[in-house]
Amino acid sequence: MNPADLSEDYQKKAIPAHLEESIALVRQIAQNSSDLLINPITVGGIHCAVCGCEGMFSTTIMTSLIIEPLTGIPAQSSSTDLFSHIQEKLLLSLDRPVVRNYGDFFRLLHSGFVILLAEGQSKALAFGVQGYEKRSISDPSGEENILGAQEGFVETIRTNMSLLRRRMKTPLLKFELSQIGNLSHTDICLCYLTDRVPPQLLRQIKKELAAAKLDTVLSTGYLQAFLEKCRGSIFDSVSLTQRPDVLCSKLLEGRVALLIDGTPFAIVIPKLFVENFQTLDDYNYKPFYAAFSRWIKYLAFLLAVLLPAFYIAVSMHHPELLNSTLLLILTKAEAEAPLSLPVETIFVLIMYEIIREAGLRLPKAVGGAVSIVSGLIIGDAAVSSGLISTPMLTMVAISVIAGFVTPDLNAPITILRILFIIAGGLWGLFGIGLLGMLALYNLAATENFGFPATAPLAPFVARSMRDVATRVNFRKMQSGNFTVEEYYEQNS
Amino acid sequence: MNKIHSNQLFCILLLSGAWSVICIPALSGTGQILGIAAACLMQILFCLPMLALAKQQGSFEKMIRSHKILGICYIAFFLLWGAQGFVQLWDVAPAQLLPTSGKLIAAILITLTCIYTSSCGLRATARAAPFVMGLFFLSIAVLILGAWKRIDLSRIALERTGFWDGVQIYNALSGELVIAFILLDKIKIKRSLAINSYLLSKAAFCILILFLSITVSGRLTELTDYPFFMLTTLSQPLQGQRADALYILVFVMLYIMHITLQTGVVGHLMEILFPAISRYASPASLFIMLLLAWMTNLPTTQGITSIALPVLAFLVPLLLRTKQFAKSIRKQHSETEFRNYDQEHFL
Amino acid sequence: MKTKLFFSIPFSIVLFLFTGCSTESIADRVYTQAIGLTCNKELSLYTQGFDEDSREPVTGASIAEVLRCEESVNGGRVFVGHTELLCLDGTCTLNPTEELLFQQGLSPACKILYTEPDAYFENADSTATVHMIRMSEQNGLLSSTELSTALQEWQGVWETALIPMQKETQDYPALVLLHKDGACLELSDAAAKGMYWLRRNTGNFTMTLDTADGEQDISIASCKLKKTIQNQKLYYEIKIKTKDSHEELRNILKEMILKQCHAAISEMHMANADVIGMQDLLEHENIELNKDFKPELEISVIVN
Repeated sequence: MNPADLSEDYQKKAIPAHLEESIALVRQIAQNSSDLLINPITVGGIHCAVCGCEGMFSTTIMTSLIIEPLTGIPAQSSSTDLFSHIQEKLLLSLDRPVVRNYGDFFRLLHSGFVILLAEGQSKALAFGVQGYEKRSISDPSGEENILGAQEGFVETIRTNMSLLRRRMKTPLLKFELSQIGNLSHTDICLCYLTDRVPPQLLRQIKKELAAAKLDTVLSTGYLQAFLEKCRGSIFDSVSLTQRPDVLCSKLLEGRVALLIDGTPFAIVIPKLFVENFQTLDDYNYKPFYAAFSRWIKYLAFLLAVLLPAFYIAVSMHHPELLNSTLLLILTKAEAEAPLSLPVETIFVLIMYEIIREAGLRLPKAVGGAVSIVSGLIIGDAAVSSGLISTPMLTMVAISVIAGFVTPDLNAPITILRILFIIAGGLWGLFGIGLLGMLALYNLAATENFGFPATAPLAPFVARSMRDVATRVNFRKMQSGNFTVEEYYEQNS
Repeated sequence: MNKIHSNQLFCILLLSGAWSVICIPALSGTGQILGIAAACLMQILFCLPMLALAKQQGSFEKMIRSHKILGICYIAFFLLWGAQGFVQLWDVAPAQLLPTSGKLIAAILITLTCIYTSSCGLRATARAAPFVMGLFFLSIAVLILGAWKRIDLSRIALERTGFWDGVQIYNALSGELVIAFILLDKIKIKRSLAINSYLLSKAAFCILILFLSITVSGRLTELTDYPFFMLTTLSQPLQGQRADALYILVFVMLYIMHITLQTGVVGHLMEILFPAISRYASPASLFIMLLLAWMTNLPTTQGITSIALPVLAFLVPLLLRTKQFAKSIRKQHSETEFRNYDQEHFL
Repeated sequence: MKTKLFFSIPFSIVLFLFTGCSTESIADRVYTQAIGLTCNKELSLYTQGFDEDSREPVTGASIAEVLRCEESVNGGRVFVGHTELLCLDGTCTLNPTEELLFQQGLSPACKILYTEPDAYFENADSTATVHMIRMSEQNGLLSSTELSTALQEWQGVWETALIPMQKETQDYPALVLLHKDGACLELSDAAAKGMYWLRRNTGNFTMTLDTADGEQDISIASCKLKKTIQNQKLYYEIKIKTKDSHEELRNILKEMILKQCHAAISEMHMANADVIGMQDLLEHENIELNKDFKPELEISVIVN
């Protein structure tokens, strides 16, 4: 068989009744792959074969739960009787689908099932004895918090489903498992609360997923593009989370989550811009402190995007905004710097981005060394050599640190910061105003499946201000039965 | 499930109107303040027909579909008004000391920005408006804070003259009422609340600016064409630091809202009248506005809006409402006749 | 093509910035702390930077021209937005200062001083001068003397502004009434102090009074000025709250303020000027004003 035609051919091919032919076909389709295990065995006097994929199932479980009971089956008159006996009198596994074609055969085989073929049967029995190596549940490294749970999603979709189920023991939480990817057959799982999810949202998400014709889905990014309806937006309209507790809170608000096998992140739809400033810890602290920290985050976002641009605009075009003492300090510092202020700032920012990238991709031990080299050696040397001025470096450092406060907005902050610097350098506050309006319109135009990213500020929902402008306590928060449907704006 | 919410309509109208107010030419005296208050009350009455008409949603759309020429008149008004806005920008730019190498460059940069903002649609404008409104309120608070210490009430002269000037100038600044008439179609609830809050807030803002100009700037107002910018120069909240350049931000944002709203409405009208070419309506209208402003010398205060406002925002809705009313009476009448005929002949 | 265009625009802007020709840097400008103007035949501009000696004066036909001239001398654009002191000698009044304010971005809060720029800038210490003016204002020795106030007064019917003048003989500034056309009258010490009470609300300072027992300090908590007009007659009521309850001391203060105010009014009438907001009051009664009109004025002082 031509490998190119393989993917189309075998999917619906029925399992032949003749065992040897069946095994030969399995070998042919798998192209004698080294991880394919086929063990001929006689069960109840009938010639059978147990098939598995090496490393995908647990040998111990298979031996104790499948092989041992199978060898104890008394002699059967036919393979039909044997299969009826196994299905009706033995409980070898809770998950034991019947396989009739090679599409299902290989999907289950590669998912850690053990499959029993028998002479004279045009079907096979699959037993779920998955036992592949997987990462144990650990801290969600990308979404640290202080007072919340220390459990994060892992790469195994079923473990992730169980993490959610443990927190929501209600039949209203529905999981819809399906496969996506022509080659990878990746398990994906839609999760939602049936009584809270806006039906039009669920319908549209399913439609979009059905339209996604991908060969493989290896991470969230593959599907994110299909779930973000707004093109050209610099802000995300779907969010990612690594935390089952955060995801539960999102589901409670009527959102839909998508779990993907092989990735420890869940996609949550829709995402509002204000969610970038909400963390799980906000709900663990006293309301007054949570409200304070939220306003700090808003301020940090503005500082991260605008501070260097304002500094440049004021220094270059509107020095009257500075008081005379500050003006003298800046004049003195800038007089010694060889580059123009915007160039100097962009240079420092690009250096920072390079260092950050280097630190991210390198092993942790070397990453630390990168920080030392960049921070101490390059930074100190650049300032003392007069290549860059201290006030400018201070501004950039404050801006970069402020950006760490809202990690979800890292990408838009990085790009906007540089664009604002250019606009501020060229046209001062006038340029910042122009670009500010462009960014604001970009945000205002961002919507996903009819849910505007600017909600609940625009459209304004006064009730939602209790978790945006401030954070009320749970006595008040528990009342109201809020769902995102309140923000839905029909397209016309 | 509204297309635009009433509070968003309030924001966009007020912001667009606020730009006209900050570009108000030199005024002084209580006579004009009274004139503005009277004009505001007059406009509240002006809006009654359009509010009555808006109860039947889709009536404006229906009207311009059946009277295309009227729709074209509205488009022409917005193009002229937009061009007037550009002329105003060129006049105001030197007062603001914009850091661009020329007023044409400033206009081109704004046009380029508006091409994008108007392509986002009216709904994006409506959503962006509350954010700009926040900044606008903040700047007004800073202005009042700075002006507070400098207010000298003895500078208010009780003049009776200037009342009609006030009425006329304020009406010329109220082109947003035409926009309101068009956009009311897109709102389901709280229409009158949005319109009346807009009218009262704008009048209050206008009176505040005039009051502060008179009491803070005093006779210095005579030295400038635009009292608002004089006021921002004089009202510094901090002693050792000036804040007037900060108003450039507000100025730019208000102006972009102003122009985007006009081009957005032109786009909306084109979509109804000529759907085939509506895609290019916004950039084309911006280009026409810029060209008109560059080639002609449109009056910046009175003129276009003073003439168009009573016709497009009052007479047209009034006529339409009257027509609707007459139609419903005729219908009622014919139904009664039909019923009488039925009773006479069949019962 | 679209993508290329999309990326080429910001890229070319960045390249443009890299040339270093885009705009001037903060250090490229020449900042002035004090400016002096004289208008004999030609306009002369004297400037002094922060913590610097005075620069060479430049001349030209207009403010724009002298600033351009100054640029070529100093090798950077002159930025007057931070100027704290404007020195005038009477030859230049409304027009050049107006141009500096509206077209060059001079701060309206800039202090104004009547002096000969030629002499002042020879050995100027503008930081000390500005400090002295500010302290005098705070201590009740001088009323507000900002550029915006002077411009307001020049714009009035009487076209005369009250401006401080530096005198070698005293450690606080004297005051002059400077007419728009250059005519100038130096106020007596009493009249200068009288102006302090008649111009605006003040308070929270300590002053020294001459009593029978020698010099005594009195703390002024607040000083409220109330201006009214009735039948074309102006009434100025000065209400003073002191932190001192000594009756005799309060009477001395009252007498002293009355004396100072009368001196101020009489000298103001002598100069045909209005620097105490008479015009605003008179306009309330729709009185036609002209330069020769001398309104009747009554002053009362209440000390609690």
